[in-house]
This record gives sequence, C-alpha cells and structure tokens, in this order.
Amino acid sequence: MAKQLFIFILLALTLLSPFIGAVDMQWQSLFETGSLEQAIFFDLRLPRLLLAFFAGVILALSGWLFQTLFRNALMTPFTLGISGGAILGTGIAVVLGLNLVLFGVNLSALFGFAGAFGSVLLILWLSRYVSHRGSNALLLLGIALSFFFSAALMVLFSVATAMQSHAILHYTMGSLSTLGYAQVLAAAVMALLLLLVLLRRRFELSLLAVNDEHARLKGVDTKRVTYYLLLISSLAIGVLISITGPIGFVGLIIPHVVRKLYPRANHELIIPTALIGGLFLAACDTLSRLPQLQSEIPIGIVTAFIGGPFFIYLIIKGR
Amino acid sequence: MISVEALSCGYEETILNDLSITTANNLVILGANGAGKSTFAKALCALLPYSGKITLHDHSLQELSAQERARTITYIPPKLESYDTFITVLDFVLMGRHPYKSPFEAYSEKDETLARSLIDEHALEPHNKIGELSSGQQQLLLITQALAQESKIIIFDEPTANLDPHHKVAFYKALQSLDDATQKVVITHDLGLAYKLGYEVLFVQDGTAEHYVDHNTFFTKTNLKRSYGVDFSIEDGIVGVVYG
Repeated sequence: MAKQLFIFILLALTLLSPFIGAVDMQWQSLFETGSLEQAIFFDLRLPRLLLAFFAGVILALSGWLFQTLFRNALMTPFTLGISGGAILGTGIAVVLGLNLVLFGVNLSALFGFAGAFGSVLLILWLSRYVSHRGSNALLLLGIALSFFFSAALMVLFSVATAMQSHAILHYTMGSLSTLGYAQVLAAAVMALLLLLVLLRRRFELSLLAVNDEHARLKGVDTKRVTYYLLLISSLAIGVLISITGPIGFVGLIIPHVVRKLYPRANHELIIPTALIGGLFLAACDTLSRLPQLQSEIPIGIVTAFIGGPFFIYLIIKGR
Repeated sequence: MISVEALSCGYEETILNDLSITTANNLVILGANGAGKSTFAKALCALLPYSGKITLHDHSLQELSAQERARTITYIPPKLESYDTFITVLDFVLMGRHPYKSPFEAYSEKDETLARSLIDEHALEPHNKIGELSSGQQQLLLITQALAQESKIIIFDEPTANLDPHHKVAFYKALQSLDDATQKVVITHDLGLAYKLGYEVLFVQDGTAEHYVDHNTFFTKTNLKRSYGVDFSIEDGIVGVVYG
C-alpha cells in the first residue's frame, strides 16, 4: 500500500510539473498557436521535465552500478569524488574566462566533463593499488579526493572575481533549467545507452553482486567487465554533470529505496531503479518550483530535503 | 588431472614456495592453519597471481579463457559471502551454468531442469532467498551450485567446518554420489573425514608440500605426531586427537 502511494505521488508530481511555475498555465491556452503559454510549455517546461527524468535515470542507474560493482552500499560516482572533479573542471574554465561556445558545446561544460571523466580514470588507476583491501579502502580514497578537490576549488575562489565566484557557486548547486532540446537529447541518449548496457550485462552483474571471486569462478572476466561498465557509466555521468551540474543523493538513495520497495535480487531491479530514479528527480523538480516559493530552490537541496528523511524512515522501518 | 610445477605465490609475502604435485586422483589437502592450503586452491583456479606452471587436463591454466577455466575447475569457499542476499536458490544454482552460454544469453530450459533436480536432491527450496538460509543450508547451496557447474575438478574448502553432524553426513553422501569422472579435492581439518574418504593426501607445510599417494602411509600415529605435533589415536577406522 505504501509502495503504491509512493509511486502515485511521484507520478502525480511528475505529471504536474509542466503546469507549475512562475507563470500560471491553463489547459486551453496550450492549443493556441503562438501563445506565450504554449511557448513556455513546449520550450521551457517540457524539455525541463524530460531532462529531469533522464538525469534521474542516469544518476540512479550509476548509483546502482557502483554499489553492485564494489559491493558497497555507500558507493556512488559522487562518493568517489567524481562530482568534485566536475566542479573543479568547470571552476577552472570559468576562472580562465573560457566562456566560449564551440560547435554548440559550452567550453566550461566540456571542462566539467573532463573533470568528471578524469577523476574516474584517477580512481580506477588508484584502485589497482588498494582493491585487495576491499571497497572501503576505495571509498576512503574517494573521500580524500573529494576533500582535495574542494580545497582546490577554495584556492580558485581566492583568485576568481566576484562574478566568476558566483558562476561557480551557481553551478555547484546543480540546475535543471535548460535552453532547449539539444541537452535533453544528450541526456536521453546517455540514459538509454546506460540502461541497455546494464540490461545486456545483467547476468554478469548478477554474478558480480555475489562477490568478485564468485564471478571469476563462474567464468566472468571481472576486471574487463568492471572497467567497461565503469567507463560507460562515467561517460553518462560526465555528460550529465556538464549539463546539470552535480545533483547529489539520487544515486545513493534510489537503489536502496527500490530494494526496500521490491525485495528482489539486484539484477531484477535495473528497470525499477531507472524508472523510480527518473520520476523521483522529476517530482523533486516540481517541488522546487512551487508557485508559493519566492524563488526556485536548487534541485540538489530538494532531493536531500525530501530524500533524506524518507530514507531514514526506510532504514528504521526495515523490511 | 592436476599438474603443478614449482608453484610460488602469496599475497604481500610468499606463502607457497616451489610446490610441485601431479595427480589425476581425488585428493585431500591437510596442514596447519595458515599453511597455505586455500592459497594453493585459489592459485589452481587463477584467483591469485602466481609463478610456476599449472596445467589442468593438459591445458596451461594461463591459456584458458575465463569460461574454459570455469568448465575445468571450480572452488567452493568455506562459507557463502554475498552482497546481494535476495537472490533465490534457483537463480543462484543457475549461475553455475554461466560458463556454458554466451554471457548475454538467458539460461536455457535444460539448465533450469538440471538446477531444479539438483536443488530437489539436496532438499533445498528453489524460491527461498539465499540470505534466509541457515549456514548449513548455505554450504549445501554452494555445493549444489558447483555440481550444476559440472567442472572437471571441484575443490571443497573446509566443507564441513560449519556443519552439524547431520549435515556432515549429508555432505559426505553428496561427495560419494559425485560421478568418478569428477576429480575431487577436499581441504579440511577434519582428519576423521579425510581418513574415511581415503583420497590421496597432500600435506602442506612451510610453503611446500608432501604428497602421499597411499593415504595409509600418512595416517599412522607416528606420522600424524610428526606432522601436527600432537598425539592421535587410530581405532576402528576412526582418527581422533588425543587432548592433553
């Protein structure tokens, strides 16, 4: 019952999303060609809803994948310092004044992507030296890396102008506002790619979810599969962060929420995780734009504000 | 058929040093705690980096693909450790069939029939979740999965350590019912079981090992005393430690 209610609320908030915001939206005016409402609906709110959904899919699936591959409930691309790398990359681009758009790609977004992808490669390289000590050692590396990145960002702030500092700060809070369908398309392609790869690899992932040795004894080349999957998900996460900035918490909690809602084997939860992740972020975006608010709440704050207490409730309640 | 020449391996420090053995028969591996019995077993399955030469059924271990290796040899750990505890017994046993299909393909109906009959044979419930089983049932589950895997060589690492007497006997019977073409390797501290099995003995000590083709030459009071440093009694085919 609680399960149906939860999903109903997510769905309702998601469907409400395009009708909520600073401008009141009437059904009828949607069909008036050339009306302001129509433009707001199709050029601003619909792409935003879609971007929120696909971003949620990518974040939740990457969280699920990292937790499975490292067999650690706290592992996500973000706990491994990857968002820190993205923020730092963007910060550097802003401070260097690289606010150019080349071939439709914003250079600072490219730096954000490079930061995210670079930190994945760094983590993979470092993991070779600690992997035999278990996933907690890797988690500690990720935390150390995050602290290092945020310290480096502080150094950047001290050389940045007030305007640049503001731009960096704005980026670190994450945002789903979009300028059209190009970014939605990029996120959608990445979400679909990630989903299809995980589904195709679900048998190997089910073996890896027991433990690494088990998978190897059943004929999985675990090193190759792990690297391949981490690269694909980092590509998706890197592209996403370059569009939306870092949005925390979704990747960490959604796989756990789904597991509590559907107590099944890990590999059967890929599609539920994708769907609930997408709906959750879209629903949070609706809440961030309620008309009663004087200004929009940054999306990362809504996900933590709603998700945190709900997650605590789920942990305490148990199964 | 296992053939090992000058095997050396270990983790941060060397545990096995210049170990050699060749046998096509069933084997029990004995030795003190930390002697390197499990290390040896894991090296045989390519779970550890090693130097030296390991040949299984006339194929160099390093030349086998991951799937070929899994069809040749498998290892059953002393206990089940799984991050995902929601896997059903049926799904878990089916994983034993992974080496026989494309990694992207679903398990066939034939695989499922085999898995179900093995689960039935070992009195397990196909729809139970593996995290809900008792430690004895989990041990039985690991064995059932290995049987589904049909590897030519199966290594059991301390299979009876977590078992009550009832499950110990069940394990012994399961082992006896395995077909003769399967080469069985049993690592154990249970000398009573080792003696009863009557397999060849590999005694691991100080990084190397002694191979006893006839188990009776190992199971003598003087040899046991020399090997383990404590007294043993052997009566009516039962080996027991003498306490104090």
